[in-house]
Amino acid sequence: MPPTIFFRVPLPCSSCGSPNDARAINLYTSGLGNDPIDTSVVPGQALELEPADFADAYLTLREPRDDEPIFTALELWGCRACHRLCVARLTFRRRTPFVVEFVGAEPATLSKDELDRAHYVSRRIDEWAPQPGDDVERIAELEARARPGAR
Amino acid sequence: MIDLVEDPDRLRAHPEVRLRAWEHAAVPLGAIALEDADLGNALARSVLVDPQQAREPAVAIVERLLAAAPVSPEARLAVADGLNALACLGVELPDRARERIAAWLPDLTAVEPPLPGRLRGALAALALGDLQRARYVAAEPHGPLVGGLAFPNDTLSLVGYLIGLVRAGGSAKAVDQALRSVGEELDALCASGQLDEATIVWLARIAFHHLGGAPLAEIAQRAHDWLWRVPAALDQARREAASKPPAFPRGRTLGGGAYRVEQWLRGTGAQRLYRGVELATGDRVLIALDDYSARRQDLAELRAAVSRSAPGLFELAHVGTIDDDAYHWAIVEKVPAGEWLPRVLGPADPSTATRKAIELGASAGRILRDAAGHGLVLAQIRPELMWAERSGARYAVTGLSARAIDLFRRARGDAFTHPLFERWYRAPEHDVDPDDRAVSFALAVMIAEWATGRYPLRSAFGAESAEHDPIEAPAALRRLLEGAIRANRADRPRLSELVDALERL
Repeated sequence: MPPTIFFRVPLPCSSCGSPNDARAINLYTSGLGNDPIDTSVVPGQALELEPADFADAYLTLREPRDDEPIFTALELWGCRACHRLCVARLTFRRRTPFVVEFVGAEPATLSKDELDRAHYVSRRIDEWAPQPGDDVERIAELEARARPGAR
Repeated sequence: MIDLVEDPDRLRAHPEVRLRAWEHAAVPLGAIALEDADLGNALARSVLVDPQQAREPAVAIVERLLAAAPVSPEARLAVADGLNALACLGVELPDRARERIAAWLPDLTAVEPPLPGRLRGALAALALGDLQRARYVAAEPHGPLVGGLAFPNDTLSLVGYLIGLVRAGGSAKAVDQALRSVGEELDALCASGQLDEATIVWLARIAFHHLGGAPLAEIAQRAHDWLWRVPAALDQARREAASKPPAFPRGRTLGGGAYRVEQWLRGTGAQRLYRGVELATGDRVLIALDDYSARRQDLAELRAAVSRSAPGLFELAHVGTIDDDAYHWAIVEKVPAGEWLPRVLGPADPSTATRKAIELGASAGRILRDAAGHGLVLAQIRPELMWAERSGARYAVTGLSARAIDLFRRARGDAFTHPLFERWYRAPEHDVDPDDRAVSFALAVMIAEWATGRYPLRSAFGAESAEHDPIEAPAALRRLLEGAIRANRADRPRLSELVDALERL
């Protein structure tokens, strides 16, 4: 697995409701940034990441504008109790051209509204089984983009 | 060559006000509450005020600092500042202190608000040998590195200068003038958010330890000596200034006693800029001065060349030699409300610089556009030939002129003299039929510099080109500026288009 950033935020499972505490939660993004070792971050912590790093690690839904210092990524994570996948909205804030702050994570969905608002989405989206209310067509498009060789 | 002049503005500085405040607020290390939200500055203040205090209490402080697990860049910077202050006092730090600060460097260059926090981050990066991250915060000076520069009211540029000196292996001598200037401006720099106690300790570490070779354990004492000697030195300078006539040409008159030279602004060679006064009205004037030889230079021709005017340009007051002195000629122009732009500008604080640059650029652009409408294409306009004012958070250029360039371009001197300007803003075709698109070029270069704190062009005097570094401004401004900084003027916007676009931003 490429270097990975683990996001240490407590979140409840959207399927079984079990709390997943910050130390144990399986919420991470692989290949984000150039740090040679895995990193764990908590809200408020800064990361040396440039915009291109996000475009590499996630599928881009829309580029954050210059006047949008805060941007979001939808990431999948697995519940420790029921092992089902959930969606988390990771929020970041650009502090400088080279540094972003991890603001926090919240439960989310892959609905049309959520996908319209977000800037990036997980490259593991092909692991997601669409749920009621999800934007199925959009998810299918994103799955196609996530396949090896696709852009 | 004119004798070096004294800048009377520095004699009005009173750094002792800030030093007394620090003395009043400082407590010994053992009495500092580690929960203090401003811990880094509290520790720095303590070691600056009393660099000979007992070090024993520091052992427990170091342990507490290293046991802490700060998350935010701001909290981490406070710990880094504290550890630095203690190291500069002579407290031995374990290796993990350095490792911890090194791991935090990306955070330290992203502290908010940016000044002086990020400056400390840049200085920390410099102290740990990470020049690349230090450059994230402060750009190195353009062109060959010159020692002995000072950076009035601009700590950000000073940090960029230090990065250049460390990279090039400069010595502490190269920062003497800059440190003197910081010491004299201490109160104003602290009041404008450019400096604080912790930044002073980092600055001292770079200057005296990295450039000067002094042991790290002596840096607090060196910093104390540096700052606490400044008030006495200023008092001495004030006494000397009161007892001796001012250095030429300050106090001299022009126009048969109509105008008097008051205030040095720029230039240590033959070509200089001064502020002066019209004695009959008290109105302020800008005086551009150069060496003159009646045999080789034509006063009447210069008068004719600079006689045209337009709304917003400085009003021409006088062209001639200094009274009772046939060897220096000058152009005297009445200036509007405000102050010489370089003294208004201040550092390129990332949180405010873009707006400031756009406001200054748009207001200057309107004057330049009107001048072009009157047939005056000021292709060599530059910041030192502008007057500006700041009202709250708003900035505006109130007037400008390029007549001084007409004076300086007639120089006939054979001897080497220090150049008046190190940077040039003019377009490659400035001396070959320039039109308003050459003004667009110059204005865009200035705005880029104001917005980013970095002089963007890679050109040099006499070899102007449009090649430039990336302009790290918001995308809309960047596109606009890069569209104007083009080699082929046909590719640039007309000046009126540039001004309209700036106003829309």
